Amino acid sequence: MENTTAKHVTINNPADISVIVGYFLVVIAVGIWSTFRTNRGTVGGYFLAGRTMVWWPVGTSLFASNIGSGHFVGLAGTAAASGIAVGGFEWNALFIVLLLGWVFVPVYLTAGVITMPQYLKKRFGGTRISLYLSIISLFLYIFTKISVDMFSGAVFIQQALGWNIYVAVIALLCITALYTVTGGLAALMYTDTVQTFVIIAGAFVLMGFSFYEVGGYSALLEKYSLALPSQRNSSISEHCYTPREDAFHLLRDPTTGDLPWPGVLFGIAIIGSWYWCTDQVIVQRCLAARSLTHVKAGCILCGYLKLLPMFLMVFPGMISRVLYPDEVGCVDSGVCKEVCGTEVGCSNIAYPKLVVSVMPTGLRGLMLAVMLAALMSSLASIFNSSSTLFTMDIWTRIRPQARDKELMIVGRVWILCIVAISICWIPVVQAAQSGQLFDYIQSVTSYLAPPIAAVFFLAIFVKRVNESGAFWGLMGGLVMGLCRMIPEFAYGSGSCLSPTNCPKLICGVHYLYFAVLLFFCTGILVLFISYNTPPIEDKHLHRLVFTLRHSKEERVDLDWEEEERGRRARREADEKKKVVTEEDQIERGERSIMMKIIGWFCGISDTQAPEPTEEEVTEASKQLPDISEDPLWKNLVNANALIMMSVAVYFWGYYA
Amino acid sequence: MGKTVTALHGLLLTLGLVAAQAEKAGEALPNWLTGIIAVGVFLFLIFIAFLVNKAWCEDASKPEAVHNEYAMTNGSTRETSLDAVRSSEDPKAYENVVVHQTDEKWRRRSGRGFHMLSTTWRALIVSEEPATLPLGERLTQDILTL
Repeated sequence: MENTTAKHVTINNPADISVIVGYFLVVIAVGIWSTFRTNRGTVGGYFLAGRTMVWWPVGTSLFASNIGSGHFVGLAGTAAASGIAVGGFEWNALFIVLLLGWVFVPVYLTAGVITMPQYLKKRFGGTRISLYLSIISLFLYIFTKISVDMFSGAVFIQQALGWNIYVAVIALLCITALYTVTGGLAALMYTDTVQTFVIIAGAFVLMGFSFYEVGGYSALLEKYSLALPSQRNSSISEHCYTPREDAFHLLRDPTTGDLPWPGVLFGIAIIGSWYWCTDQVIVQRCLAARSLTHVKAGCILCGYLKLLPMFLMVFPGMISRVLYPDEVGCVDSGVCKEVCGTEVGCSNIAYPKLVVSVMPTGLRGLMLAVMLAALMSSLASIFNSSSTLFTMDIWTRIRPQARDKELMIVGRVWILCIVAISICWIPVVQAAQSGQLFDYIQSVTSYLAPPIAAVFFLAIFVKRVNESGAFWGLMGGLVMGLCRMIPEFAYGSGSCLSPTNCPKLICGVHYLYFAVLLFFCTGILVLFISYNTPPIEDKHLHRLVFTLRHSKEERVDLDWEEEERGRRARREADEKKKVVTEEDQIERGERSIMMKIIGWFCGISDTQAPEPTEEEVTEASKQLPDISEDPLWKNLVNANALIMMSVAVYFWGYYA
Repeated sequence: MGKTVTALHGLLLTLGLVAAQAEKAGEALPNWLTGIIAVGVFLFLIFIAFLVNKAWCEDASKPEAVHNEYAMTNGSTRETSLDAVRSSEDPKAYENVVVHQTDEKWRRRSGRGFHMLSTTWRALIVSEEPATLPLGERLTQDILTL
């Protein structure tokens, strides 16, 4: 993307640079401190922070993992283009996050799983469902979350610093990979707390300055509808550059609105359920908590924090359009190309433009730190979770005899692989014409995620659903989603000036409506096939479904045979290793210093607990994971949740 | 209960007045009012859900409680359920079954003081099972066992 350098203000003064350096030092310090607090050498310690987290790292980590640079650029950009309805994506999450804490996590905790495919494996048996889920989750991570966040970060850095995209992105990825690889989840969750503070503080400062520039909240309400670009030729129809009339409404007309209200209420809820309740990145943070009460309290904290993006990103995006209508609201393709390098539209530069123009020196460095915080926290979480998925679900299938040490190394190597893939994906995202970044994300998610959400809902609430039902439901949902996704990407989504010629039958249905449709169709398909095939007996389902989550009876695991095979392979590997090391020790003597340093850095210890015998395993499975709650705290937390929901409903009503 | 109802009536009347005035003036409802109405409706729905939950759960547990008593008495009218929980230490004392069930769990997790607080809280708020001893005696027994 080329930029006119005349308007560029680069961050090259001591105040800005010292802020950025200070930020990095704090993050690295917290990361190193946390490596001493937990044991990273075991699977539980690395992937689940040893299950010792209290409520506030859980809450802030949920927020920081969710808010990425994609939010700053995408939310603000879409708000500049079409008003506050895009904030519905954020405010819907207030309710979904409670669904996570109260309904889904108790079942996950009591099932004793680390990854979501593992849960499905225990619930349904068989391996094809978990394999499909692992693969599609990894696919969705790379192509929606990672690419969007990286691209948004690149847009920001280009606007603010004028660096080359690749240099900027590679530097960011390396720093993120560094503290992800060494620390594991504990480091991530503690650094996420720091990132959350930085994000909120910086964004508040920017919001303050923006409102001051535009003249206050009521001034924004008046001026937004008058923000027309001065350079427009008469051939462009008026509605392409005039701000929407319902710009300040969350709930818009069901047929003509760009985000119709049934879609906003139900479609976003379905996509949100996939994102918050069934996705590895978010659920892993809840599983790392000390107890169920801490999970719930963390979810409430995250909910309150999710109230903020509307004020911190959506309103500043609209202010940006009011202040710079010719750049942010540009409509003439020549002008747009000059301003931001894409002909479709420049709404994506709304937030970076504000940062560069409105913030005084010194604070610009702070905003860059904020963007870096958002980018790094999200990327780090995604790296960690995708490494968990790959290690626990795919690698253990390839090599069941892998011990902790090997799994740790594989996890870290996979992160490096993902970093390489992400760097290679940048040109593709660039070429996808950044004008529709947020739309692209939401559409891809709407076409692929609802079947997963449907299967998880049914798996938890309906005992009758079995393996064939779930698998064929997922396949059917995938086919339906692809039927919509492929034509839409083939024809291109078009723009206001040059609409797409995708046939109305396929592309006429709004993507949020399509999500609702897909959800229900998948659900019906799953139920239909399940009722026509033999059921799963209760003895396999204890503590895997919502109604049986408190049951204390013994469960006959459906994946017992596979686990036992893995354990046997590991025991044999142990035996062989014992023979070999006895001979080796006599020959080799001390390990070299280099190996020791690398071992400490990566948190890998030499001592490996022996694989438990069959008796020990059955004994361990009798110690059931505890999801009981102290009644006092339970009632307190429930009351708090009610208060939060009331606050959320008030704001929805206010802006409806 | 009566006072809250009167207060609720007063609140609804004021809201109605404001809404009527706004409509007379020809404007849409002010935003904050829409918000408050939404919260009101929401809390009302929660209240209904709570009542439904209470009614449904109580229906399910009542027949079970009756069933247990009959099982314990073995059809004999003289033998009461308390016989089944006769203490082994002293023929005149009875084990406090209700308390001891929660005993083990909370003692392990939360420490003793908290345990007392939690059982008291349960007794005050959650009156699901009938207490085998009056509250005061149960508290004394707790203190003695500490």
